[in-house]
Amino acid sequence: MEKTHIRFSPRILARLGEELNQGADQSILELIKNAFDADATKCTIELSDTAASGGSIRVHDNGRGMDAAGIRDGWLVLGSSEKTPLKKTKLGRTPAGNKGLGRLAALRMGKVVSLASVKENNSRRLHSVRIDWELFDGANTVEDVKLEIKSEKNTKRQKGTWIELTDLKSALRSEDVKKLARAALLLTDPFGDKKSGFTVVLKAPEFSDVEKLVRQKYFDDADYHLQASVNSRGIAQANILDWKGEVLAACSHDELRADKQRFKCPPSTFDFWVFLLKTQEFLSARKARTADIRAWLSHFGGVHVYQDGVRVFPYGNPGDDWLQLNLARVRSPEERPSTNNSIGRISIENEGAYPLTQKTDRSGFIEDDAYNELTEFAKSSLDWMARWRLGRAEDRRRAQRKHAAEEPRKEEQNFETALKAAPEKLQRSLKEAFNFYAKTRDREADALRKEVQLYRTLSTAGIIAATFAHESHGNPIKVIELNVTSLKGRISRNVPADHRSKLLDPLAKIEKSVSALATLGSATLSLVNSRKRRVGRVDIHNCISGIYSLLTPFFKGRDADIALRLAPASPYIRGSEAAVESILANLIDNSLRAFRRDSTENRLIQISTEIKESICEIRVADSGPGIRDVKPSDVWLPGVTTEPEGTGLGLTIVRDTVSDLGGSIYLLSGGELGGAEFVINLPILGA
Amino acid sequence: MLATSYPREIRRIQLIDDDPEVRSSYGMIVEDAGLIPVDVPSIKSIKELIGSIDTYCDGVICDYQLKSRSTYSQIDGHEVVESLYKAGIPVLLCTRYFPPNSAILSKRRHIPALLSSGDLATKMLPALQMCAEEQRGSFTLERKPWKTLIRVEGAEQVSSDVIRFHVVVPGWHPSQGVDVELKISEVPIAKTIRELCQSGECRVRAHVNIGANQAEDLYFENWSLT
Repeated sequence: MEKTHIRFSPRILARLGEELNQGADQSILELIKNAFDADATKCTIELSDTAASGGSIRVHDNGRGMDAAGIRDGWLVLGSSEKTPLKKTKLGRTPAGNKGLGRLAALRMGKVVSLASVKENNSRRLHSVRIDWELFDGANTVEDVKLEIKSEKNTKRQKGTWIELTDLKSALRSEDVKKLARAALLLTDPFGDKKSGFTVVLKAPEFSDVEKLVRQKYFDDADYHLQASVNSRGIAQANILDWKGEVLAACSHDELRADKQRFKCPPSTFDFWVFLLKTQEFLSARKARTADIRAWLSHFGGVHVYQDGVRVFPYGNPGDDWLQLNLARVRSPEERPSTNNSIGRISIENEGAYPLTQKTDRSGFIEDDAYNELTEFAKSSLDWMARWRLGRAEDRRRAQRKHAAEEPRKEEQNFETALKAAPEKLQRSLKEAFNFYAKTRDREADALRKEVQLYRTLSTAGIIAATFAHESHGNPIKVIELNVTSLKGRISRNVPADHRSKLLDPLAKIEKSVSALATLGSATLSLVNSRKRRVGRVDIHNCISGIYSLLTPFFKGRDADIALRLAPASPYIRGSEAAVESILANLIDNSLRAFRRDSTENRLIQISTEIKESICEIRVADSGPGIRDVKPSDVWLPGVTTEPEGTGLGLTIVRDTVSDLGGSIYLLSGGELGGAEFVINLPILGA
Repeated sequence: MLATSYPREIRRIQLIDDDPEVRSSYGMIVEDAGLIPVDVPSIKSIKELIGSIDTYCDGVICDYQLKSRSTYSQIDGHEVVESLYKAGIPVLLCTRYFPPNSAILSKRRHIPALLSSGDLATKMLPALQMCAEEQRGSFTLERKPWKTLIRVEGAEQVSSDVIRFHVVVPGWHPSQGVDVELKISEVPIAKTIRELCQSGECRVRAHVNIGANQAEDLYFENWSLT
């Protein structure tokens, strides 16, 4: 029988070190956290010749230090740690590192690592150990490599720990150093007013630039400050403060959470500052320049998380939008902040029934229920602020509309007053010029009001049609269809053949009419389908085919036909189906109206596509009368129509929609089929 | 009598629609097919409905919109059909709304037959037969699921529980995009997929009926990472 024990291949060091490594900045940050946990008040990092491999990094702190036993039973034991979030340090700090693995990635950055330490209350001895990682590469097991801890007399050094990583395997790029500087400075919540008593100094040029930015706090220049909190019982509340710190709005837990359930997460506070970066507003009331604030936000914008006073990576890193501020803004851009104009901090006291746990690779918290609840708390607070801001924006608009009616009268009075100060011989001509201008402006305002009213009316018609489509389009038509089908079958089975046509002919007419009637409802519902308004990849040919199918009963009902000549490709754009459909539907409608106006005999519409490099050319030509009674350049103007009951909006919508898609459109009066021909060029992403 | 498979022989068709006129009209189509229509005057609960159906000899025609009248049903037809399908009852969903909306598409795995009222007379019996065969494990080419690669090109959070993915299923069509909505509460991996595709398109696997003729006939289940 042979007694043995589990042993570890040296490759485990790479697995736990390099492969869990989030980057050089995070690795070194673990050493800084160790210094924090050792109650150091200062930690200094020196970089030497790190622009290329072979350089060195020195980390020194003035913490409690270690003796030989501490090095042997603590520092050299990987995967175990005496530290626990439940037991604070002597200075009352909650340990930032507790997995016993974080430092390994940093220590393996160089081919050799040297540690020296002087323990508090025993400064007469200096203890040191040197690890040459190449010795491990040649060994069978980790245990085969013996390490020696030296203890010698100390006369020079104070308490603390010195770690030197030499012969670095890789260079540290300037970008890495900037990230390290940022991470080090943000480690212990420099945003708050309370000082942590822990200072990090990074001896590198990039550090002072970042440090300057951190020190310059612009919180007082924020336009809105959201202050929310959730206590140990899961009850939350929130306030919105203005830049002076005055409360603009407050809400209770029930307003934040619709289902009124408590938040099952650790007690936390959420501070969030929003900056309205409109230059005029800023210069009028704030001390700071917009450019400075933008630069500051570009470095530190986003929502950071601090657990027991120590920052948790990667929340709030550049590009990390864990609360989906930017997504919420895309869906509802009004009064929603983005990571470019806001900065926030969630401070968590990780205690109570629902603590959060950080992942071993330091890539954030484990996304369990407690984490989800914390996220829900933060998002609910942001949603409440957005609703409040929208409400204020709506109030402002109503007030503006009211004042807009009063403004011209006031301006006219101002003008009259100024006119009286002008020389008498000029007063008459000035008055005439002003009156002419006023009339022109009034006509324009009148036209705009009518256009807005028309848009509102058409929108209401669409809303009503969509809402009641089920009543008009679903059941009654379904009943007719089913009964007609059944009648046809019963007639065929029960009526002698020579009498059938008398009964089947009227049924055929009913069927045809029902089909046309059904199209109105289905076309309306199809066009207002919300999925079609979503922006994404849109296949142009699919849209053309879809509109063709949708409108077939309409144009067949008017004895017209549509021919499709589509290029042998699948051109697609980034846009919405609704946009492409509105272009085609309006152009087809335009042609059908032209046929009716002119009593055109041979009614043909042709839709063709051609791919020209990165452009899809769409041509919609008809055999109608062409453009008559209106200047070709005027057809695009809203309200211009040759139909007494026409809206004059169809081609305006087409032009504006094409423009929104980044394309262009022009009109040929005598097209391929003899009538009007619209040529649209749309930039495509592929085909 | 519609012979599906031993021991089932459908003789009756239960009719579910919140409009009695429509149910009566369905009834005429059913009679014309030589079967017995059974009116379902209201749905108090799915459990009660399933209990009232004879799994040996009943099939079901169910409309999509069932909540227009407050007293008829608490849920819409796509959920009723899903429950009846899972209970092994041959059922088809009848609707005038084409293309089907996202609610219907999300249940497409359990809605094998989707017919318009105009097609009911000619396609009712084959549709119920197909459903019964599928419930026995025998899928048509258009409905058979295959484990296949899916390219996720984008994701959008529609609501707190729903993520909409824009995907391409190369095994079905090499370039046509399809929208798929997943509920995180039902498909927890949806969150992981969204995170993965935030840094660019990603590839995952799922069971998809790649023999489907149109995008609206596709269903997706058993999602997994590659």
